[in-house]
Amino acid sequence: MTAVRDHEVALTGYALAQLRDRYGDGITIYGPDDLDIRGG
Amino acid sequence: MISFSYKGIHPHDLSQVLDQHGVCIRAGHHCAKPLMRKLGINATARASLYVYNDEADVDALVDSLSSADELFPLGSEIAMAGLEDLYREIILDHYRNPRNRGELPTPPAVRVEGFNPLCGDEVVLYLDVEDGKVADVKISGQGCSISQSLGVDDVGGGEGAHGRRGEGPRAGLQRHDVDPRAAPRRRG
Repeated sequence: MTAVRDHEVALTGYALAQLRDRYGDGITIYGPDDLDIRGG
Repeated sequence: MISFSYKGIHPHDLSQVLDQHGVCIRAGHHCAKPLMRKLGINATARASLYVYNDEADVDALVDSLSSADELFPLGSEIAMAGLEDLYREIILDHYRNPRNRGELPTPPAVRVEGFNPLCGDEVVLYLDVEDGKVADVKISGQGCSISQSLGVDDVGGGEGAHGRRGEGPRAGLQRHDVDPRAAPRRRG
């Protein structure tokens, strides 16, 4: 399950970066930036 | 898991657009209504990523959001090209031309509130009934395009509630222009 969690964290980080890079202020993302404490 | 709002587009409308691109997200308050109130919103979109997703799925999500820009521009004409789905046409029509938005003085109108605990839509309905007929109707609240637009024409006679001519004063409720088959799908 550690590998599953690691995959989820990595993919969420990728998604956050892509969304912010592409849409900037147009998108509001809720929740913490710290991926370790972001729910999954 | 990523909860987000995008350019003021209601999450239900957004989820419907993304669905057309094969991207499935959830939309609503996600059983966190107190948090939604704290944040000053009534719903969010939510993308959940798990073991079966990869970066291509994320790219699809990111790319498909731009299509919502085209369909739900704020304050500008909506590009209708490429619209094939009746449901989307109905949503867009109500987005562009919300029906019967507003309030009525109470009394004489009756005011009732409705709250969908699953999706977070909040609807306030004003109904003015005279002699057993609907004289006027208005809707307010917060929610997706469909929930905030009451598709009732020709209420009250004369110039109808949004410009259509009725058959005379107090012509009553004559037509409902929302196809029940197009009822919005709710996501928790």
